[in-house]
Amino acid sequence: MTTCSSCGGQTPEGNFCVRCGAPLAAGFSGQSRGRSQFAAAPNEGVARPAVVSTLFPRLPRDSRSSFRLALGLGTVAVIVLAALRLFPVALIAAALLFPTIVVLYLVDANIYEDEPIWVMGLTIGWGAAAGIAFGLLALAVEPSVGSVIVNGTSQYLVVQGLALPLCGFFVLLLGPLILFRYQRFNDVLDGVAFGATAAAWFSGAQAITYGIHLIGAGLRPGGAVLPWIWRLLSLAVGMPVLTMGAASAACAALWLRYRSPARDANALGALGHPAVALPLAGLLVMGGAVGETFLPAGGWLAWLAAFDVVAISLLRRAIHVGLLQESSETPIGGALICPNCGHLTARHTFCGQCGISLQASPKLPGLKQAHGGTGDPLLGPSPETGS
Amino acid sequence: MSVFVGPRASRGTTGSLGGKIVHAFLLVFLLLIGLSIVMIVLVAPGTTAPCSSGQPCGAPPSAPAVIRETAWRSSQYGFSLDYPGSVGTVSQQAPGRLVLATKLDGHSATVAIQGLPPGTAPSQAIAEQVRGLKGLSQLARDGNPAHQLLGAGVGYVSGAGRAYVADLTSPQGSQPASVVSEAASNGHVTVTATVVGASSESGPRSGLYALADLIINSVQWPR
Repeated sequence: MTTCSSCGGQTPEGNFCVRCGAPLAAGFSGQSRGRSQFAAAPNEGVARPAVVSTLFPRLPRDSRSSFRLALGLGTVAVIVLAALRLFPVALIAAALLFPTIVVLYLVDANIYEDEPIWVMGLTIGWGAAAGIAFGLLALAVEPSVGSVIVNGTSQYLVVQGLALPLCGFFVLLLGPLILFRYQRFNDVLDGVAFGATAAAWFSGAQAITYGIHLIGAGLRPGGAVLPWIWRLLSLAVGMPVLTMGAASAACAALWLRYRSPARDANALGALGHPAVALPLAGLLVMGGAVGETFLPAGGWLAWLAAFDVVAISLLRRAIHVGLLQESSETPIGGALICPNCGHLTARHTFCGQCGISLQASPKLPGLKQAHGGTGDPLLGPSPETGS
Repeated sequence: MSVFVGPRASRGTTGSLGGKIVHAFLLVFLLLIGLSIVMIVLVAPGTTAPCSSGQPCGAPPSAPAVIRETAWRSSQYGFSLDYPGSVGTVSQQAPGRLVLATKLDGHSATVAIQGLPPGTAPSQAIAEQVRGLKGLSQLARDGNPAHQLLGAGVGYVSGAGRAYVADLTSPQGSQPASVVSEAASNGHVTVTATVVGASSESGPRSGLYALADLIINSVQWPR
């Protein structure tokens, strides 16, 4: 055992303190959240705006690679369908790319534990219903063809570019907030998962609803391929990542403030206050959407990519700080196998070998009772008892 | 610092699907793509046989009832036209240009008439006017033979005609639009007429094209 210079607690010798996640290397000092390794994926830096490890933080390292590959293959499939001029099929594929991946994530990481049906139905159903409603609303209030031809896409600026994205974002957040009152979903990562799920289904359902006339135009309705590819990439990746990142960041701030121990409530500073976090997230979504009204298809994709980086960075910081606030005085338990690196580590809050927060792992009964629990099927000898 | 590195566990102990995720994703995603193809084929409009030039081609389109004809004259080029004021309203006008907005069966559409200096070839005039249309994305020539314009002209003067497809886009997604343009010249002025409307409400036998024909055929050339 050694003493952690960050939290002062006793921790088994290794690379990281199992209590606060601080590196045990001689050069590190200060609070554990100042470490450079992302708490949910220690092989990545905190500042790196990686989509998969941020939107799906409960994935072990091996699964992250698989999800990246799946996301890449899905994106390539959308491009190929567009290149074959199968635009309506490509639109549906683009709209369903992230919703499909999110469902696989929820199942793989066992987010909803033993109550999967109603919770999954609520977050997915709410997001999809809100997306359909806002798609229909956008169709109902669209400007006339005449005014668009005369004045250009600026006719979409106020309603489609500003009002609907902002209102839609806050409506989609109502779904995760219904789950806010359930104490069993009290982790920051629960809020992140609910926000991401509702947002992914909102974006997909809205794109399909608004494009319903395209779906009725036959398999190959015609159109210029390259602008179509840019637009489909915006709808498949750019807009969903932005909406998911912003919604998850808003939920993370809410969960950290009202569901974490009181000492952690202000960990995110001003950015974690709901009065700042919610409007900021809404502004991000609105800012990303409004670019469509004055930029060409390729320009909008680049515009969205810039907003994606901001949203993902905000969410990543919220997850990092939220997970590294989990330092606990509870005794260190037996050994378990880290789901991320596969090495044996003492049962507490962080893996002593790779430094991942054990909260950022697929939900397993053994890990849920990590603080001092015994009787785990993966147990090795306890570092405290030596037994 | 001594570093304890325990043995690596097999992936199966983590409860994660690991590499099987890719297979599960591909299975689900390809299934969804397949289902969407079936659905699109089922709801797709039936194939329309192309018409032959100079030959009868089905029943004439149903034109909206003309309640009130409104006259408009280009002060710059001298051509004039009539449009039914009951279904068309002026969206924009200039000395050489008129843009009419209309709403048929709940869908908005527009008919733009523009004069160009003499010497502008009809095909060049079409390209110029279509290029000047704002708000259209993914614009391309319509390759569907059934959508091609036969016997194109303006004011009973033969000219050129082209059909395009495009999309009206917003942050929420895309909606398909049809664009057809005709142009003709009498040696003193070249006149183009372009119709833009939702794809579902366009076509040779649509009310929109019937209205456009009324307006385009009413063009009176300057002498």
